Amino acid sequence: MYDCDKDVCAYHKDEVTLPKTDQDSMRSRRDANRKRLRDGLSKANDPAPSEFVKQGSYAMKTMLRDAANDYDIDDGVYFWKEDLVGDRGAEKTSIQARWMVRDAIDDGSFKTAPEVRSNCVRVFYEKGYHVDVPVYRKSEDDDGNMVHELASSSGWKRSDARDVTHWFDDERSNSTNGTQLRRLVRLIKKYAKSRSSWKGGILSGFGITVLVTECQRIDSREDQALYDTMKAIRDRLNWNLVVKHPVTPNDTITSGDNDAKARMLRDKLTQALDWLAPLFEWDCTREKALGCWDKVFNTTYFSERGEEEARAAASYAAPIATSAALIGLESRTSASVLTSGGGRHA
Amino acid sequence: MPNPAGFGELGFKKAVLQLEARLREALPAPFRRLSSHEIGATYRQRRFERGWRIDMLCSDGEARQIDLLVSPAFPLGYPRTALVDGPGQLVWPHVEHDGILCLLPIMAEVDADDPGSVAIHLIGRSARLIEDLLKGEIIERDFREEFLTYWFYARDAKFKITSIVDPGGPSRELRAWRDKDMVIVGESQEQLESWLSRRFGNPRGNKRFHTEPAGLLWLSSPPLPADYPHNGADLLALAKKESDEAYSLLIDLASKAQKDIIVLMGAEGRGGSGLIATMTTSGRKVSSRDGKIQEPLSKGFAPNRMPKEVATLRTYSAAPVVKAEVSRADPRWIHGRGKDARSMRLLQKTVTFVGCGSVGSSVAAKLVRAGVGNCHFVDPEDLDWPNLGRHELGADSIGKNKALELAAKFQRAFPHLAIEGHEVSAQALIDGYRELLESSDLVISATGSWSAEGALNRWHLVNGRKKPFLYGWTESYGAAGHAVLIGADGGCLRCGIGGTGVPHFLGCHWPEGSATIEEPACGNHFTPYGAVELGFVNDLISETALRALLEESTLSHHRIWLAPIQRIKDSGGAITEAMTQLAERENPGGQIWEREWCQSDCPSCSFAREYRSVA
Repeated sequence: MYDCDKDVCAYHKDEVTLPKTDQDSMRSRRDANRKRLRDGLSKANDPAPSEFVKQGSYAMKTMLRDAANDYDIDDGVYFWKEDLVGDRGAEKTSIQARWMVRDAIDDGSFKTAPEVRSNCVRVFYEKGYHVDVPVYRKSEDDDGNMVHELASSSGWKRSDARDVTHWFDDERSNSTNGTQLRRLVRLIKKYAKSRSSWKGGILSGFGITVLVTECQRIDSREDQALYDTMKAIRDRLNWNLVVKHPVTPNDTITSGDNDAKARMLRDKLTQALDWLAPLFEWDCTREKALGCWDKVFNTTYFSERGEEEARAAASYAAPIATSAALIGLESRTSASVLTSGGGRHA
Repeated sequence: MPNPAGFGELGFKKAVLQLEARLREALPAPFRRLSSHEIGATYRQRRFERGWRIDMLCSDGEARQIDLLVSPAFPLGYPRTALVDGPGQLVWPHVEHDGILCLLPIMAEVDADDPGSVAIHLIGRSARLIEDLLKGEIIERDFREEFLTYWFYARDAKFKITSIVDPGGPSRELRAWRDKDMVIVGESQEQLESWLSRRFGNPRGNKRFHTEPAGLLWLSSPPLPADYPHNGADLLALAKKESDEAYSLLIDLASKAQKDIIVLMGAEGRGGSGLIATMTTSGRKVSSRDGKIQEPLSKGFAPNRMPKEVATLRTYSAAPVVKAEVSRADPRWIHGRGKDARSMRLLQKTVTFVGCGSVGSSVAAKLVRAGVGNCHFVDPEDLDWPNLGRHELGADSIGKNKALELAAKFQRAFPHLAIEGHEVSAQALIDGYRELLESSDLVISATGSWSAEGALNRWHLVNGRKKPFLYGWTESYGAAGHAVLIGADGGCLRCGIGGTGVPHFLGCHWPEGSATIEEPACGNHFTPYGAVELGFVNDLISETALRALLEESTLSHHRIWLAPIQRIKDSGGAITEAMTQLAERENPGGQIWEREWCQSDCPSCSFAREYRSVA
């Protein structure tokens, strides 16, 4: 396989991973949201949260850079079960807890008011991104174990935001190269988001994360690892389209055994592998190889790198062009310009 | 970065990449990318997204630089090039104020799939232009030949002047009419009044359009930018240099107007006549508070008593003149941009249109646009809703007479033409408007009524067939169209049409049944076809009319357009035996055929002979 290790690493660094500035602004946005919630609860004489726990790709650090600043983060809020009681002493239902959080966050400063969703409260920001706040209650069972329950559409449901994060941390620890594993997750998620027309039709980022951990092919070369992992996932999906939830027993991320989104990921991975086929030809050139990676990620990043190298290596005939030499270029390219127009009038 | 043109952001990046690679391969020397700050600072009024700078050693030993620049829509459109640190505005032709070079005409097309070659080509062109400018031979030539463009760059007036003047010498006095939105300059008070009343309607009551003296300086050669007048004195000096007549004209204008004067200047450029305009400003000293003129040009003198010398000095003073663009609205320009030799001949013609329905109104519209100078529309009927689908008029004319409405509409749209409507039938036209028929160079009848056209034919015969009559109609479903021109020789209309109006020669017939459909009303029949099907028929008749007006042909003839065969079949029709014979082969339709109009000793010919012998 033609070696584009450095190019894929550079692409990950420059175009895939989240820049520091975006990380900082997300953190400050998250903190502002937490403060708003605390203040709102206090003002309404509602119970104070016991803790906040970041979750999802934000917690797993597998978020992708987005040119349109379209970042969605998940930040769970936890309450003690005994605190979540109504005026008459009855415990708050799942929906009541979510409404309590929604009302506390909504200080009237939002253009679009926060909404109660089936499993969280969603806070919308003007630039298009949103923060999801899942609401949990916690208590100790008879054995002294801590029990966490999510305020979901089907009532209080045993779940803990930390479980998924812990699972991913474990996967990374068990991997021979946990850092590369995270990069592979980001790169394959980036591929799944490379065409706007695929949005909503392809498997979720969480589903991809599970598949990458399952099918990872760690390699000393980043491009080889990526290709092999893509191929392994495709082969795995050819065999079975069901993706199990990693921490909730008997739960699946996909729906049924012929999930359309998993099928789309499989087909798109097949397409990417086809696009990368020229890398295995004996006479593959650097220009051709970079073009293949451009095609996969729907970008010009790789070819631009190649162009930079070519420019740096270019040796020119003269330090300055003469006007006569430039005039000579005109006739050689005259087919590309038609001064009299195309002869079609309207 | 917005790129609504279809290639998108990725398309832009790919094209830029291809362009850069091509520069690297093709250029013999290094080039460098321009930063966005450099692009923004140098080309402030343009929207360029990327740029590259190329050093070039010119034949005079000086190093110059060319910038290559692309907009966000790239690779659509074409890259622009600029001469860095150019000489400034109007020093060299084809070099704009910020150094951007004008290399390609407006109609030029470039290959957006090969942006690299386009860019290289334009760099080559730029180098050649700069070398040509350094040699100096093209500077004066191009400034003169394309003087309208360079005057446009130098203009400082916020308004355009509309000219209905015939753009040619000699220098002469004109009249101008102004309101707050527009300034129109014409040859005379009468011409302006006529044009304005046709365009905007007559002024209320006894009011007239107020016009003022203006002038046309016809220059022996277009002015160079260095000659563009900055003030009144410059303008007078320009006229003096041109000729004694031009100079006297400006002196007379100052004396007559005693206020600011509009002076058009005209000359022959490479592409024909061109007009530019100036206006003096010495009489425009107004107080800031009430907007009234504080120091009129005639200050200190009784009205119209200011001596000529004083008027000249005051009008053509050191006060600046404003330079304005001129929009030509003269007939020669409107009908063929001054290059269609037919337009001046058509302008002298008079055409009477009898019947302003779906055929007549469209034929009339085409001939008005062709520039027929005098048009008379005749129809007794009002417009109704079912007419709208294939008529030139719209809902705003419902319930109003077709001829009057059509005339009003086209008169407003073409104020340089004379268009009149007459709410009368063909019979009434013959009885009461004989002069109209006699003075027409062509009468076009599209009534579809045999009683009307039979009567017109008899009048034509009785009056000696001095000018041609054209009869046009469509067959059912717009399946065939006919244009029959009755000239001085050959058959009359009746020779080829039966006593009840059925033509001897038909393109189609409907063997399966009736070709018309009945409305839910007594005796109302119609055939369902639309403006699209009818368009071919109307074009046939319009083109026949145009030929009749421009060519001397005296023999009656018949032109037939037949719809494509499939359309005829779809309507349940078939081609007639006569049409098949005319086509002399299997007839595919969608074509025009021509035949002589038959001549026979028809009842109308006999009637005319008897009538004339008695008379």
